[in-house]
Amino acid sequence: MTARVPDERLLELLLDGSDLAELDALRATPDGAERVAALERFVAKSRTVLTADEPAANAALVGRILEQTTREDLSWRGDLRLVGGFVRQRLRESLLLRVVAASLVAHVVAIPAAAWVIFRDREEPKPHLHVSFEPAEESPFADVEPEPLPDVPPVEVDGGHRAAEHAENLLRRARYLLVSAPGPAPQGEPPSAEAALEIRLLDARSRYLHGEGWADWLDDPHLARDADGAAVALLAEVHLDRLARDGERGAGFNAALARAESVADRADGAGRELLLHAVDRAVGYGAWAASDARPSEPRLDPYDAAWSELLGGSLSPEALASPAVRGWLSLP
Amino acid sequence: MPGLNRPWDSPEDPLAALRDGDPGPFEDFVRAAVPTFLGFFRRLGAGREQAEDMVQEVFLKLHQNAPRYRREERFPSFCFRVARNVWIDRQRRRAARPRPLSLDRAPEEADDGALAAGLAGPEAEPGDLLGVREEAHRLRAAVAELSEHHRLVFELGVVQELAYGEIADILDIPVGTVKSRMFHAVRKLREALEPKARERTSEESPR
Repeated sequence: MTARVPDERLLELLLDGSDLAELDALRATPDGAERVAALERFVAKSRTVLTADEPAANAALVGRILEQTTREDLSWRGDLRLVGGFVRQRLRESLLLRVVAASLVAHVVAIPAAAWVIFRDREEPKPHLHVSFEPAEESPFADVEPEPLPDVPPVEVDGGHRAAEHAENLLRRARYLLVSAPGPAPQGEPPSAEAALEIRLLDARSRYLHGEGWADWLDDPHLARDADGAAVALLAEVHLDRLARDGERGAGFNAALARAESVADRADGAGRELLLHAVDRAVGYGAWAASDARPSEPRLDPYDAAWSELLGGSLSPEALASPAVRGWLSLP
Repeated sequence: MPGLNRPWDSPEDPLAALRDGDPGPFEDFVRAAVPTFLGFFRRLGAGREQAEDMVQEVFLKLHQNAPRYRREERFPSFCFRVARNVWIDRQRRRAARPRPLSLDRAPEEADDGALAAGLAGPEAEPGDLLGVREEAHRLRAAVAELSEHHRLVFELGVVQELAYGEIADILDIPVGTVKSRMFHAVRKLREALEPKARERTSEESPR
């Protein structure tokens, strides 16, 4: 005698269908057949009742699904439809969104309508002008006497730096003159030995001033000792150019200035003028002490008319004629 | 093998055909299976519009996954797994309990007269039809009273005719749990249909 199959197993045999042989064996017994039949009736009834109210194929829903799957419209109309569907779905799902949307529509429609009702009968606003003249008022300062300026004696400000400033000004002027100096002179006839040295010196000065570097032979101590006349003055001037332009004192600087000073003592005429100019220039730069033996000569003032001309005439003739300007520039 | 008589459970796999560039079987599948999924979601407690939305989402997901689709299970199982995920997602999003199956059915959805005639047979007496209608009403009410777990197992096993193993895979639960839930769901429904047999059924229960 076989054991009674539990209901759970019977249900599994019927629904799962995994062991049809066992199910058939159960059907072969009177009790089993009755239980299987009752369960089958229940299952069939349940399926029939529960699927009876399955909604019929909804053509609109099927259409929507196909439009979004196999028949998707990839044009802008399809995109528009997709956005519209999304908005409709969100509106359907959210009461708050529906209220907000309704409020928005109401405002968009109502505000222009209300504005039209309010401003319909209103007159065009006109400008209201009112002109009046206020009585003139006396100045509150009419009776006030100007106070006299205090009589304060002039005070000399920072006089101790004048010599240094003067030297600095001289260097600046010299730099300007050097930078704006003309290029090398054109070649002339074959010169003498002294003239050849002067030409070499002029050439070296010109090259230096035009940025081609310092010629080392200018520092040769024999050069100052052997030179004479204008060549000495030129040698001193080219050393002073270097001092003015680059702030450097070459190895031959002292020899050149000493030679210029000693030659100037026994020279005369234009040569002496050139030599003294070089010495005075060095003294003016503060780079050379003037010899006590040599009589003091009037120093060249950097702010002369030629300087003004070099500045492109920034000082007009009228300004130069003015005593105040001339006094300030120390012009005679 | 259960499930072979469903209208959309054809030997040709619609997703495989779609993946291979033939949309025809998928479109036929959509037309045939829309009522099935609508009924599935409605019986789980969704409203009509909500059910339509979820059905639409199921087919969209199936269509989107077609290029990566590999047949590793029966096609109905795969579809109901997607449907169950859609249902759970929707429940989570709404953070609301599923609405019980409504007994106040719309006239076009509850033609109990025709149903009763079908169940009772053509020669049934008016009294028989009344009894059948009452029985159908009691069955629907009992299904609506089931918990969601029991209702899902009953729906997939009895209505959709899926095997226990498939139900376990879809719901991600052990087969033993499927057996237990199915047994309790069926017992409650049979008790609802056969009140007089309640005592006998209780005695037959293994627990």
